[in-house]
Amino acid sequence: MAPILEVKNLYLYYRTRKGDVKAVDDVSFTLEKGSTLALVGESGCGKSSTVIAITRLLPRNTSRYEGKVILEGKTDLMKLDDETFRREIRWRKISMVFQGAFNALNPVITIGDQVAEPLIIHDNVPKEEALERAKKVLEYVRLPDYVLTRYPHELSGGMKQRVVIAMALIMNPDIVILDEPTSALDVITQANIMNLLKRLKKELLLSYIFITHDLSLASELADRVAVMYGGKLVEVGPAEEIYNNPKHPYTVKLIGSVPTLRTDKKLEFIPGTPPNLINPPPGCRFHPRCPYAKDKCRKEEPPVVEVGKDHYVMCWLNSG
Amino acid sequence: MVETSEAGEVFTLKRALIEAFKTKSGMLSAIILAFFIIVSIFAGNIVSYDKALNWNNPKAWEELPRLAMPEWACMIYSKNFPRTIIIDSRNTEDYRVIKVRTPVPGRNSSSVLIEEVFEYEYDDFPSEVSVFFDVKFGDIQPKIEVYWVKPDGSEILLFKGLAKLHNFTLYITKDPKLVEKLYEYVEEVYGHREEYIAPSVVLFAQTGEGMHTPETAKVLKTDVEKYKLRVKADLYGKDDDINVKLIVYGKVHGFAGTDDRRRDIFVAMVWGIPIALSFGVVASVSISLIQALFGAMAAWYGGAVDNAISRLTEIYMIIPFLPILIVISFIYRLTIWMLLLVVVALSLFGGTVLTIRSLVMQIKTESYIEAAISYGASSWRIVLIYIMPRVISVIFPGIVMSVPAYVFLEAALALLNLGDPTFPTLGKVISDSLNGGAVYHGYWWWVLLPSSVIIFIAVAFALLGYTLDKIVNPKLREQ
Repeated sequence: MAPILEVKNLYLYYRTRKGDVKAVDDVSFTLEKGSTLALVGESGCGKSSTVIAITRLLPRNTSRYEGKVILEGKTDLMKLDDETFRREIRWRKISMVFQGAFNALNPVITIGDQVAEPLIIHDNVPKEEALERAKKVLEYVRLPDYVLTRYPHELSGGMKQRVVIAMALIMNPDIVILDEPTSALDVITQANIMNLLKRLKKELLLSYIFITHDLSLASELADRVAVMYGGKLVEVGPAEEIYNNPKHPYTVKLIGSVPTLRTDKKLEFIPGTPPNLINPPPGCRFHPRCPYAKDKCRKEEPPVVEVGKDHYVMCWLNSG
Repeated sequence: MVETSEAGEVFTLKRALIEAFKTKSGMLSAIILAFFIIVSIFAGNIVSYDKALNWNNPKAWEELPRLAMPEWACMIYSKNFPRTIIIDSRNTEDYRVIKVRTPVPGRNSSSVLIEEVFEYEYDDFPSEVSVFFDVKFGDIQPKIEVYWVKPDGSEILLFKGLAKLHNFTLYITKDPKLVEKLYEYVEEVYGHREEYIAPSVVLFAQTGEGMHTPETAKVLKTDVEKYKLRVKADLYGKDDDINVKLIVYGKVHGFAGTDDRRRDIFVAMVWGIPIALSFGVVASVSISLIQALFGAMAAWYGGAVDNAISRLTEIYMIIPFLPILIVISFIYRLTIWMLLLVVVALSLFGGTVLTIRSLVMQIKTESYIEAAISYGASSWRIVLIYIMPRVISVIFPGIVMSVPAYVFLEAALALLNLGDPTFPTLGKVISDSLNGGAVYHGYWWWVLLPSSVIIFIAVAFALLGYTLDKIVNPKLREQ
């Protein structure tokens, strides 16, 4: 069966006065139906830009936007015009849970109206019916009825996050993109939301693209993990493989920097700063910070090699 | 679970209004506004619309005294000023009317005697006396004699002659020919001719020395004997008839007095309120909303749209608004609603465009807008449903506060004689009062009453505006 989403050679550059920012540079990955792909990496590595490229929320200063995004093995989303994309794809096929639910809700519209909005926009559903369906979705994310008439500022952070998730589910999409869905929540609420997401995935057969900088959180949900660094995908593989047998030095360092409870482990950090995406380092983009960097790493870009089943790495260390 | 409200939160319009009406100044403005709104709604029940429409028709006002004070002025001066007395012989129910018709035997002609008898117990002299005739006759004009009989028995022949018209009026205290009869009467009593007499004083003064001017004369009040207007007529046709309406014009009238053309100022006040309110509110709301919408569009669409709107705004802002408005009103003599249209058209772009543009620049980067784009809301929907509500709560205090500015604008144009000439507005009455020399002659009610209505409207909106501003704009909140 064809994967539900296939991204091939995706590029997204932003124009600035100093030059083009190569935020997404030749990124390819696939997402299987009913599975979760975690996209991890530090801030500014291009995770959110990848999502922007997939969902076409392009800013005005986009200078290069190409590649293939194939839905269900048939439709190339990049070839659709904006209006068709808005009508056919947005929220019907791909919906999104935004970073910081606090800001993703309009402060002057009631929760019910907001959750029902996509239905009214896409299917022209009468308002009463839309509200009825909003009520059902809110039940699904375990929120009481009364929130329908509340304004966002009257809800707690966890409740708002549930509202945003409910909103993403109302059109029964196939793919839900979760952009750091729990980054502003305390750990208990975070655990609650993660459990909710797991349950929804199982019950509704959703496919997730889960964006986070938190590897431990990603391990909760992910079937596959994709590690991004400096606008490039440096390692993709099954979650088990990535956590137990990381191949790229960046992945190794990243896993080493995750804190564990009550153990005497010294937390590692990666010296240096993330690369400048306007003028990325030549060769491997990680070489200025890589302890194993060789001459070759400084000159030539490493190829993508398969090091295990479905486990790809982009590093000279693994390709002789 | 429920967060308490805090500074910096976003207010919906409804909540802001509820908060505003809880404060003292908000409550005061609510009371004043409620009063004006009730008056506006029931204006038609208080004073019929026809009266306002007939504002420039002198016929409609002939029964009202000229330049009469409001009735409550009696309390201020503690003096019982005369009200207007109207006696019409056509009204046969009226006990004050006596009409006797004596036919001449064997002929078609008859003689008619009409007596209109009335009491007079006021402390001051009336302003004018007029007698309106309604005579029906065929080929031969009837002969008419008009007498004024005072309670002390003195009888003055006011008029003797033929009725030449079917409808005519004897302006007893104004017409020089008729006033001459009063000069003769005074001469008869004094033994010499006075240089100047006040006609309405002579008719109502105690007969004797000093009866010719208000300074020296004393009002002759009635007790047993009454004042009488006696009209004798000889009619020569079978169907001939005569009727007389006596009007003794008082010195006070109604709640707001009258102007120099006998028009009831109360009519202009009652109908001026809904007009001023709707002019101010419509102008302010539509101008602010249009400008906010342009500002939002400029910020949202950016690029060429932004450029076009911003440049147009700059051009509009240097166009001198008032001079152009004056020229247009001068050339076209606008009605008030056309004036409103011109005011709106001249303010399509303005300061609010720039304020809202910068506000929306900020709002459009909020993630809920990004979220709206991602779930497929169209640009129009985002501007109208997502952005405008935020914008409106910001511009609302400004809308409320600029209502009086437009009310004053209408009044100012009226003062320049550029207002609507056909309908009474508050500004028009004030303008008439200045042209009529009200300030110079001390006709205080004519100036003060309509201006106080305008001032109360301004105060109510200003109070509400400042209160709302404090609530919606957290920077202004008291520490």
